[in-house]
Amino acid sequence: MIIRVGLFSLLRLKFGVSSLDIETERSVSMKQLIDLAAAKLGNELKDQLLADGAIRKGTLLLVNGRNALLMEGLDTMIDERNEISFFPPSGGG
Amino acid sequence: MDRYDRHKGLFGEEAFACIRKSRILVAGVGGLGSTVLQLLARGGIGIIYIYDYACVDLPDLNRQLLYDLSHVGRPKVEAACTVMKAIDPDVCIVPSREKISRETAMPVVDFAIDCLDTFADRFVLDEVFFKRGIPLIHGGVDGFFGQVTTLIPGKTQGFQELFGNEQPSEERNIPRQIFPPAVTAVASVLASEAFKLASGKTGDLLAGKMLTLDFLSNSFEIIHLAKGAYQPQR
Repeated sequence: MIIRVGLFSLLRLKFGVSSLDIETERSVSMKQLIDLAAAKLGNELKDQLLADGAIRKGTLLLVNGRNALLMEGLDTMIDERNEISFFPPSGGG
Repeated sequence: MDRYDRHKGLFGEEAFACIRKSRILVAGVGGLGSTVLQLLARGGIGIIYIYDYACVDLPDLNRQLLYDLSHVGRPKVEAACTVMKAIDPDVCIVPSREKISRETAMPVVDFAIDCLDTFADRFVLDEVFFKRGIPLIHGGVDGFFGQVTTLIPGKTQGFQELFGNEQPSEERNIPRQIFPPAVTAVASVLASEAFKLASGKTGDLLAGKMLTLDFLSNSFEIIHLAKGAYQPQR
């Protein structure tokens, strides 16, 4: 299956892509999805999304438009039916 | 002729009457808020409450379009009132220099607009408005990027439900680099949402959707959001 991940905001600037197709044989956890995405884009992606093994504060990992923090966090299971967005929101005003 | 002749026909009489009667709170009159305030006041919003405890600094002048050199060092809410009264002496703006806290006695408003610049302050806004059943239009900007979403209690997610409830460590005490055109563009989308919400029946809102604006690649996209889980408590 192919899981499409949308990258937004500063992630696009850093990695130069707006989306990423992750090929996997079975559903994966959010943590595994980030590992697979980092294998394509480099480990800096993990630094952007994670801190001390948890989702970085203020970083939005959306699964079907819901914050993964309110689901199972990095253990949230994902398959090709899910719409995934990695989004570091802009905090200034 | 009146001062609203060039846009009130877009709404129709009944909807524009709703705009004229509306009561809106603008939290923050910095980059986003100074443009939002101008658009709302010039466009005929009935009463606008503005909250900001900061004074105008020289680096604000690159993007905070209400202010000029004569305002540097003055409280933003005072300068904002002076400028807006010069544009329209009849405009009703109620200023406050109070920092909005969970204990702040908030005025009765139809909805509020988030023009703040930290997540910590936005969490407070979420509690004093959204969680009490009052819609909140959120905007944020950073670098070349920004986002806007309209949060409607009972329908959409609230700020903390969507963004989590922890302040990003990076945002403490680091002045941001912000592309000035991104600020005014995000502010215009906020004001557009405000007019539509105030009019009651004009167009579609960014409710359940987040518009993301990327000025580096000129990419403007909508992320569809899940429905809100909790109901407002009045």
